[in-house]
Amino acid sequence: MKKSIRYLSLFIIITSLFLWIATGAHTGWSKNRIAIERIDPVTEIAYPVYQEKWVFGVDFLVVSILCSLIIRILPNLIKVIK
Amino acid sequence: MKKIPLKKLIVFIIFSSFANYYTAAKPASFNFKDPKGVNHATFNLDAPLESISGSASGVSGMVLFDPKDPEKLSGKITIDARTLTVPNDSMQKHLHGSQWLDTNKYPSITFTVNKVSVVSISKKNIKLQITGTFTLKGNIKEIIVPVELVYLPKKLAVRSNGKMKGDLLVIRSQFTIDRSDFSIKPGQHLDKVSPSIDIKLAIAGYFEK
Repeated sequence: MKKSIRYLSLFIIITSLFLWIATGAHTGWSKNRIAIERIDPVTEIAYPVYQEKWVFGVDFLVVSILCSLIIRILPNLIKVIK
Repeated sequence: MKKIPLKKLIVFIIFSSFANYYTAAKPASFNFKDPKGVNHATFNLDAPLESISGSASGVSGMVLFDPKDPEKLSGKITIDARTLTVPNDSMQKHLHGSQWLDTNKYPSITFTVNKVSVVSISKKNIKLQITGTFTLKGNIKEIIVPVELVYLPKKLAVRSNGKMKGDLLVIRSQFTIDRSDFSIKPGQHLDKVSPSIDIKLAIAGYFEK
């Protein structure tokens, strides 16, 4: 039981870290759309076009690490309470 | 060589000069409703982790402009506040909500030209300083903004793939407003969000001939 909880905690950290790096290791807030800049050839106006895309930010990383830590210490916490 | 009668020549000269006067002196009315979605305004608010930035594409309005007399520029530009988009859905909900912009109650952000002064005129562009009335969240304030104009005669045909003929007018401006002047959480969250908002406008209007 203890071992599987440790593995689950580790799995959450590794997966969230992997997702964070895979979506660009963004150091700001998480986004669910990104702005891509286009240029109108006649007027030369640079304008944003939004595309639906998930980019995980540091908030996601912090929440994932906190979840992982809670799962990791949960058995010990239950023991103390009991 | 065939002689032109003097009477006909005088009539022609008078008529052409009148025609020239009316076409040249009358400022053209440029429409800023853009079906291509290029016209937009961006905003930026400084914040500790990451600055909050987004854009609005719902631009409309009319501007009267005479390239020979840019000081007589007049008009009004409206931005549909409901088209404001930020990269995060929950952030967008907050932005449109009653605590911030309350876009359901105040759907329009407007700028009306009151006074124009020419800063410089070059072949490339015309730089102006415009005093105008800025309305945001129902609050009205007179502000002075720097404006760059690029007049593109006969370029409408290129942009509309030959469907329309006429001129284009590109307006660019960048200015800063204080959010407390427009009842956007005045004096609140100063540690989380900057009290000033940087606004950038890049729009193109057309005059169909």
